[in-house]
Amino acid sequence: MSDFIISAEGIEKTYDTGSVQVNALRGVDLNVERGEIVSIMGPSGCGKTTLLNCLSGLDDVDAGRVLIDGIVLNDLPDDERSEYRARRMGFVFQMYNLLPVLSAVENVEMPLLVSGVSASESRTRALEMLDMVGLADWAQHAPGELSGGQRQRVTIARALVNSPAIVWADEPTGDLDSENAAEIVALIQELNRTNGQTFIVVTHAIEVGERARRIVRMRDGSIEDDGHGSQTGPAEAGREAAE
Amino acid sequence: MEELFGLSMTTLMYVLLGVVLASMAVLGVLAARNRIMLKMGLRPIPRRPGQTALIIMGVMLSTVIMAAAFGTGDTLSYSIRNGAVEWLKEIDELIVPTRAGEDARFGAAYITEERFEELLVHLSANDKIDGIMPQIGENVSVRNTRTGLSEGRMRLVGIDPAMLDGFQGPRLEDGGDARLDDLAPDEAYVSEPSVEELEVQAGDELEVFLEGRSERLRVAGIVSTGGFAGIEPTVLVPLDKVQELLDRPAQINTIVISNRGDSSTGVDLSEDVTKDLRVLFNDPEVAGELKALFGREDVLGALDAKVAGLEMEVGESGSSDELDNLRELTAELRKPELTDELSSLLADPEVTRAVVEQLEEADLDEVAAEAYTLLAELAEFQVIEIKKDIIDSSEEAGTGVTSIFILFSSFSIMVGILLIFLIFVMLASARKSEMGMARAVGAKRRHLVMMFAFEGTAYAIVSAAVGVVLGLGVSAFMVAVMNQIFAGLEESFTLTIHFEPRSVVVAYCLGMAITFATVVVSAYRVSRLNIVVAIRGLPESIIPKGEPPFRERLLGLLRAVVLPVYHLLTAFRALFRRRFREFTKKLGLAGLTALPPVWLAAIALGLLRFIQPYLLRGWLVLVAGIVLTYFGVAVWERWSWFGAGVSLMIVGLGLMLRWWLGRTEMRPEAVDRIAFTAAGVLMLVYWALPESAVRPIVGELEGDFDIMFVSGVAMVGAAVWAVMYNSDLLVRGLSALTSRFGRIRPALVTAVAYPMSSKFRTGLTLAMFALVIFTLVIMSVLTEVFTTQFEEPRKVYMGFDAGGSINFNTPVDDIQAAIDSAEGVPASDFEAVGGVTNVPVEMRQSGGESGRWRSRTSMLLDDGFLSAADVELKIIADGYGPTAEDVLAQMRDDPSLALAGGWMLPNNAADIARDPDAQRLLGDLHYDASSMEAVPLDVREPFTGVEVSMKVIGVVDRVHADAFRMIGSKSLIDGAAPFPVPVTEYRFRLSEGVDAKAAANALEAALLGNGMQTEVYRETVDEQNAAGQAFFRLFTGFMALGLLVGVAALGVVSTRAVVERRQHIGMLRAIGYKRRMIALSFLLESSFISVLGSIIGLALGLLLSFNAVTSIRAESGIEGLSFSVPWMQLGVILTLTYGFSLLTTFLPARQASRVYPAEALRYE
Repeated sequence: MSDFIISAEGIEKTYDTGSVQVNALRGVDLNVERGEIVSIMGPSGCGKTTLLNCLSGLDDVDAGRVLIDGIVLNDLPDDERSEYRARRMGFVFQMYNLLPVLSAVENVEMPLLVSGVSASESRTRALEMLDMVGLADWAQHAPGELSGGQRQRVTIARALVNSPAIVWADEPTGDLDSENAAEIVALIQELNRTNGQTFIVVTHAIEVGERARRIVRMRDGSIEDDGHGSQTGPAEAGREAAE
Repeated sequence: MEELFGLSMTTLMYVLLGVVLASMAVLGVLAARNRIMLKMGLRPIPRRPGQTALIIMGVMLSTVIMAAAFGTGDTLSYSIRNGAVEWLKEIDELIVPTRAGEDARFGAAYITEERFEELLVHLSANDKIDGIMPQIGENVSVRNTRTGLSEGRMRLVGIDPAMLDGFQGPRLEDGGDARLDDLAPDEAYVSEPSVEELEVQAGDELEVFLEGRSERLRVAGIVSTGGFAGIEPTVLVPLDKVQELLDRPAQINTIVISNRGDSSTGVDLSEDVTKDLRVLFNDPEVAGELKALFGREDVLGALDAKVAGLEMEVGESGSSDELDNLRELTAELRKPELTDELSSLLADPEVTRAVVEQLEEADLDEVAAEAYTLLAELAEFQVIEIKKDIIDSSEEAGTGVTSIFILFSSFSIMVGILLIFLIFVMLASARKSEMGMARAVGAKRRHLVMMFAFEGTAYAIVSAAVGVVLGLGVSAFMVAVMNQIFAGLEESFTLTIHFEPRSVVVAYCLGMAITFATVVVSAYRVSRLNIVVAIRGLPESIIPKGEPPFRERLLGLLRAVVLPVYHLLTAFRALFRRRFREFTKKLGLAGLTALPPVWLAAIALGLLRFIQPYLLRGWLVLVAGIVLTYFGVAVWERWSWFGAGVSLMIVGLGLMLRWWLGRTEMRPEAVDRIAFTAAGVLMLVYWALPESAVRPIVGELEGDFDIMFVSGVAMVGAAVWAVMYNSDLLVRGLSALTSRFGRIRPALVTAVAYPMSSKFRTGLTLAMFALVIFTLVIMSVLTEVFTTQFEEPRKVYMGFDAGGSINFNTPVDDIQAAIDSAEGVPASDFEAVGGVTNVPVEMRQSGGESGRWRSRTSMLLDDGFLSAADVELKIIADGYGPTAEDVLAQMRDDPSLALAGGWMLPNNAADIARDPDAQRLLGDLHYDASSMEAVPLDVREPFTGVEVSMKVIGVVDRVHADAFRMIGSKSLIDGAAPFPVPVTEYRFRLSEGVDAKAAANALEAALLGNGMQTEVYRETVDEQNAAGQAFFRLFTGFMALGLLVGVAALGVVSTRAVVERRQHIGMLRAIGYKRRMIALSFLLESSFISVLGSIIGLALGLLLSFNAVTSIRAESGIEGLSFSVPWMQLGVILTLTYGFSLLTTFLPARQASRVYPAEALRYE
């Protein structure tokens, strides 16, 4: 039996903009093994973010099915899907999407609170996670007081704080300079090595994509190359760590 | 309604119409020249219909409140005026004798028909008069022998059918004339209201009770109300018949006058006719003596000083009736001959009272005393402008009600303005990046102002119209409620809904003008955005706020001062350079800025910019506060100005502290926290102090509703200020508190964190909520305190349970004997009976400086009353105590002893100190005094001129309903009057367990012949309490309209929040927030604001009303006045407020919960 944590079978997604219909995904099949770091690359508008949204359950699919850990995600009602996200998934976005009205540590502890973890334990784990991403001293600062790189670290800390099986990252370095971008990618690799978590990273930056051993290339809503030819290295290491 | 706050409504309408039309014209020109901005401004209106509807609702609320106030005032004016015309028909004036004739009896003055015939010659010669009617009007008791129903007080009116020219004669109910000359000798007409009281119909026999006998009259028909039939139950007969019935052969007691014109227009001649009649009735010799007396140099000097004083009061060009009359009087007095104008003025009681008061003020007491004597001899008749007086009072009532409603709802109106401001601030923040882009591609600030002004004006045009319509609807509802209240009162009165077109225009224009001004101010504020910050959506706080240099500010101010000239010069410069387009533009600007309001606004703005740094440093605010405090105490002598001054001083100190701390190393947030918390807390402490704590420093100041307004704004502002600058502590506290709430905790955290991060917006919403709740709490507490204080009728009515008045024409000889012999009235029901005669008398202090007689109602008690009464005395004169029983016993023995009602005296020594020269009947005696010396008075009966001496030996506690009268012994007047003085009122103390209502009904039936009309004091008190509470509730309900504003504000805030936080919502959904958690977070957020606002409003409202009750108790001396809180009512108000705020947030919350995460995250 395969150890696919993510299986997508024939996913289709169409957007209706009123005047035109856009086929964002045209029957996409994709399997991702546990502990892999997968980069999804392609030109703008090829459907990378849509694929990520559909795989993570943030968006519905029009056809096909998505299995996460053997569970058909798109069959779950909204509440259960939300709960699943809270416990099993983490998200990193290009624009950070931190709540500006909360401090760094409050942002990080939010997924734990949502999962019903007690306030004191949430705070301890959030501080540990901030420490792990090198922001222990910035815990009480509001996002507005942090640099872009620091904000993205907070986002990563928030994504990992509930020890998710899968971390979804949509252009995680898109708003960063090359130095900060390299640091964030290194951090992702480090966490993957240490915790064995699966990372799905949508990016159009070649230097980021190439750091993953598997690169899925998309064009016009279809997978052009699922990157299976080069599946060694980090995924192996991640799997070992998970075991 | 003719006036509002002293301004003529017509002038107000033209001014407002001018302002609105001018603004529209300017906007129209701007719109034509800036079509893109017009498009950008108007574009969002049809695109977001939900938001547009919400904004229109929010913007219209102040208009609703104002239109409702105007509508209610108009209705009241119209109803009273209409009522007067319906009641009096063609009757315009009444002429009544001022002195009793030779065969005088108690209570009425008659003249002979012979004297009337003499007068008729003169009256008929006056072409302004078209009707003259000799009349007798008296009260009698009547019983319908068929139905057995009786009416103790019915008008018996007799008129001469031959003199009906100029009047609309009585009309039968079913049409046709009621011809009095066709009546048989034993026939009479009765008026419509009698049908209800006596169930009377044509052919019935009425028993009319007269002094010592009764007569029977057959009802010939029912006549419609109005005119001679009046509005009360009336028996109408020919004059000779009533003369026969009352044993008044060839006598009349009134001459009724109709002016030329109909029932509505006749009143226009009332002033002229009254003048003619006064001249006619004046004794020229006495008038000549008065002219000589008032024409003395010293008297004229005193009157000129009075005129000057009044001119100061109303403004040089202003006018008041008193001022106009005194101006005319002094001019006429300076003429060599006695003019008709002067003669008429001398017979005007209002004018002579003002003159004599001024004479006393100017220490011309001898002249005043002589004037009194002459004035009493001046005229044989008094002219009563009955219709004009009622119509004038209708105007006053309408204006008064509108002013009260507007004053009481001033908080709501202010909150409405805040809401408009909030709406536009939020609209601006939503379009910040769009505006930033517009600025980046070359749009100027004024273009942004224009864009918002176009949008705001579009909302204002629609919302003011909707607001006026809804406001009139609200006033119709209030009128219906008032009619309900009136229906429960004995004196019923029905209001007819009426709106003056002028009021509708004023309400619309006011609504438009307020909205427009607020929009322009908020647009100006948002136009000053930083382009980069706006485009990138960064917080404004990242831009350090610099201070423009002095030179730049000064130049700005100077340019504002000469703005039209400046534009004119630049226009000519452009012309010189042949830039014709620019020339036209600048010329237009010169014309625009030459308009006084625009020019003044520009100067004010320039001045504000110039002084802004000094204001921010605090010292200028402190100085302004000191000046205001000084003027508040020394010049205006008002608590409100003093309090506003102190508050400004505190704000100034806070700003100074902030500026000073800002120069240290301290973090800016800590500086703001310390400075503003200190100022907020200090201000709260000041306003929490009772008046008595400040009085020793500033002395006596005056205060009305204005103090409530100022204190409300200051206290709520201070509390919100302190809370907002310590919001993080609140967040932390709540965070710690909610740590046990498990999964809703994250929703709680965001619900508190979001509002606390937008201090301005949240502070504004919080202030709105708190202000409205604050007002409602005060109104509710005061309603509770003032309508439940006088619950014990026996205490209020001096130990009696029921009262009964009788017709003085048919007095009871011996009440005890009458009760003993009456059927169906067990004597054992009555524990005690007391008799009272209420007579108007004139009084002055014996040997006092002033010889001026003052009219006072006097309550004269018989021995039965004095023996049984349970009177609480506030002060007892030395040597007459120590108990109230001792005092009453001495009054029985010595009829010249009397008691002064507590309300006849000034409250305390401070009131006397405020006007030490005023001539007071009881000298310097005040209600707060602990002891007194007996005060001797001269008392005169006005009709007969009989004089007696009286000695005031105590002061009656204000808890008694009669505490506004002089209370003496009836034996005093019995011995002096040339005719027997009957008891006109009885009071009964009932034995325990007796049904008061049944006993009262039995008494009415038994003493019908005497016209006994009873009242059960328990019912009276309950009815008054109920009516009082109903009116207070109506006011409270009206003020609660402001709550709608607060609730609407929450709705607006929530709706905007959903749009602004779309991405955040998406992210929260991504990390596992379920839909209901998102919705819950929004609901908790609005709950947080409404609950916090309610707590602030409730706490401050209770504090202020506690102080108010304490202060009123100290001032009025009513010991029974105690602070009590209507928790139930407050609970309902707070729950409803909370419920509605949840309801308004429900839709935005649901909308937020339906945001699809993937879509929201893509949204930018």
